[in-house]
Amino acid sequence: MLTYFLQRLISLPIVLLGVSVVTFALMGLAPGDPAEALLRSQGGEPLPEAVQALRSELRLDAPAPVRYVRWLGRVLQGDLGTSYRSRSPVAQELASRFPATLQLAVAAMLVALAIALPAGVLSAMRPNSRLDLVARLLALAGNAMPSFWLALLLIMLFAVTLRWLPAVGGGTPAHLVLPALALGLGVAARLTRLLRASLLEVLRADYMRTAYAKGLHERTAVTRHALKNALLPVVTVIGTSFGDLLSGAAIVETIFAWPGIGRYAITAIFLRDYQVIQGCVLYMATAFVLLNFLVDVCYRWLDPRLHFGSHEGAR
Amino acid sequence: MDDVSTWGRRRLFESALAIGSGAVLAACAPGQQTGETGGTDRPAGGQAAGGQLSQATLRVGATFNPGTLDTAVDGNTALRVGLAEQLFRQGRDLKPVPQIASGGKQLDERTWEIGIRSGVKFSDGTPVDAAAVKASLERALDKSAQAKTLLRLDDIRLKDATTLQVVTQAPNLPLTAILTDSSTSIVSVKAAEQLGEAFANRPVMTGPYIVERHVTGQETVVVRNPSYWGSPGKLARMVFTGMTDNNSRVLALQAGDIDLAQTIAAASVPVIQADPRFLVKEATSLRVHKVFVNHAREAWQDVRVRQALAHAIDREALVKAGMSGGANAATGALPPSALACSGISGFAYDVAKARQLLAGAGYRDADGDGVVEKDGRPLLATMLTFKTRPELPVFAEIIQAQLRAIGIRASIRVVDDITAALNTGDWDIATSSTQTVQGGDPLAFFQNYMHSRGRLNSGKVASTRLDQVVDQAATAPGDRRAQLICDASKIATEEVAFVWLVYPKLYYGISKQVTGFEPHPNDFYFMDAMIGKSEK
Repeated sequence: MLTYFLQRLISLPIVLLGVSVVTFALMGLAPGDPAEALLRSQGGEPLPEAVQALRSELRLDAPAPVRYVRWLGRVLQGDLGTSYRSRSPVAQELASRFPATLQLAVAAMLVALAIALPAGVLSAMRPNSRLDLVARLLALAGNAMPSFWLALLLIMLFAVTLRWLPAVGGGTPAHLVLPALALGLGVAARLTRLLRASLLEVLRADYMRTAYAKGLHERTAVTRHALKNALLPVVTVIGTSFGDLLSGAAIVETIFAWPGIGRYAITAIFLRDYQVIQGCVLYMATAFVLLNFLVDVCYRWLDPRLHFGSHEGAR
Repeated sequence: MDDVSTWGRRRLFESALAIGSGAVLAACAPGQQTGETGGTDRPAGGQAAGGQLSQATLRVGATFNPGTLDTAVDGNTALRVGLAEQLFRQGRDLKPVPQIASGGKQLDERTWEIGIRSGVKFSDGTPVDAAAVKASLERALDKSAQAKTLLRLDDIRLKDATTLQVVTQAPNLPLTAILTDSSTSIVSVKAAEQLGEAFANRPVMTGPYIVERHVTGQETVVVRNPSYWGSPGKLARMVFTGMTDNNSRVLALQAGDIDLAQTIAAASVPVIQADPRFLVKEATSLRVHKVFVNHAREAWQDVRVRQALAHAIDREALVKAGMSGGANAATGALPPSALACSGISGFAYDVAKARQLLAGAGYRDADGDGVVEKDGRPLLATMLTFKTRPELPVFAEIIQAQLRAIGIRASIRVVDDITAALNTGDWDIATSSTQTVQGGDPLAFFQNYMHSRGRLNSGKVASTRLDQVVDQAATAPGDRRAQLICDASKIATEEVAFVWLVYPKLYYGISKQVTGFEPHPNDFYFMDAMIGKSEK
């Protein structure tokens, strides 16, 4: 376990290095100049000399590899750089947005699990029943509906028509409900379908017949024996979905004016704020690596036969 | 209560004094004089009747994510939320009106004298004198790329405690207009030095409001500045939340989350208008949507071909289909909100005339394929467009269809970076949009885009007539300058330096509780001290 953890820990910087090189290269290939984008965002028609002056002020006139090495040098000293736009430290800006993103991610995941676990299990236990049909239809709709569309519909219904909840913004628990639903319902749909399929497969397994044969109640058989096994693939998807949510849901955050990392990253991309983009990408990659590790730990708990280091055997 | 009314009376007295002293300076001033004292456009603000200050909070759904409040980094947020003031302010006719300045007069071609209004205070209570203004301008010139470009100064001198002498690098620079730019906002340099980095979140400036809470990229909350030098702002508090999505702003207004939605899309206007709780206010922006023409390419060097292009475009169709009616058809280079010019009628939509002009230029469709040719070469056009302004690609498609009607075959290329694409020279026409007024002055638009040596003249416009008029305007004083700019607009239109398409409008959705809101053509001024809210 410890060895495995250390292995993962060592792989983290390598992953981050790779990700940062790729992001840097992609930003270099993408059209648009940060200095010009910045001046334009300030409402002007940027003149070439103003762009040039800002470029040298932001030290953008050096060749890309030099800029990368400079950036890397600073990152190794724990400095993620300074936003071109706000001129404040990226690490500080990321940290100030992280709580909002974490809040939304956890809330959305709770919504997803609260719906998907019962819906998936009941669907699988009574396949082709009316309940299963409704659950499958809803899951299909949830999978097909883009989150931004769902978000607007939710605002129309709960904020504009019924006036139960605030439409956009942050600050109170009430503000959290609609964005959490907009994000969580999509994840719930995905998880429901997956759990149903996985559980159906497990329910047909020999050991389940044995469980029933020794006189176990259906409920006990499913919760004690089937669910744990059926959860393996679901845990993977929960892990990646949570990673997505932690990376910030750019569109939903924009619609709800939610002060999270997704909106921060999107604004930075529009403004070609390289330092911020790099900072966001590093954060997202770290979140994914850590979540993957957690998923692996869960695997072992769910199926003790799996060993760390040889988890290729995992389903 | 007593305190408040005493305080209000004192304020009123001081304002009157300030106005009075400004008037004296104005009356004595020889030479060019810009604006008058505390004029009609100054946010005179005011108190609710009976001397009691309103406790209302105005919630604004902003199109911008609040940025830094340090105006030397980016002045727009601080100006928009009522924190920052400049020496001069743009009036509704865009003419500079003295704000912190009591007036400005030009002594000779390069020297200006600017009086500082007496009684102006920073939000920490310290007085604003000529030395403080000098320090603030020097800080802006040191730190702000925008200020450096606009404000080309040789020297700032203190004449006395309330008067500055400013020497510009070029003759007859429209200095008072430039001093309306948000990058030149007057800040307390002393406070900036003391606060260091914290200044960007808690700046000390002179506006009617001060910061209560500021989270970059999210929200700015401002409250009434108790030591404001003018009459106090009409609101106790304003909350600006960045809602970059149009639907979010509209829905938030409908849900009652906000009182004012900044610039809503034309398509959302009927929805808001249909609701008895809201009003829509409109203003013409300072933008012009236009078509770049590549004058370096042989086909477009003939003015008749360019005129044919201008006649072939049905601007009403662009307004309807591309902008849901949220614009006016353009006649000249400048929207009337930027500068009202008479005698520029533009190009009517006239397919027959366009065909005639093309025929006159030697183009006819000899092979009957629907595309006109000259010397065997068909008239083809590569049209660039980009998506940042969603109406522009739609414009490109409509124009493509309209050009087909006169025998020009256009192919559309959507690019990400329009500036870079234009610089390659590998194109014929391009849809684009420009803010026509920079630092309160529309001349730069002509200098940069239409002068043969213009730094943004990627269409290679080369007209001796236009160059002459633009050069004259650059050094001409006051009213003569405005006339010359109108002349330039006329020439640029007649010679089709660009094809002018439409002047977009700005719409604001507001709750009927909001009082005193009249949108300014420059959306940086969408908020001012006159805005209030009835407490029903």
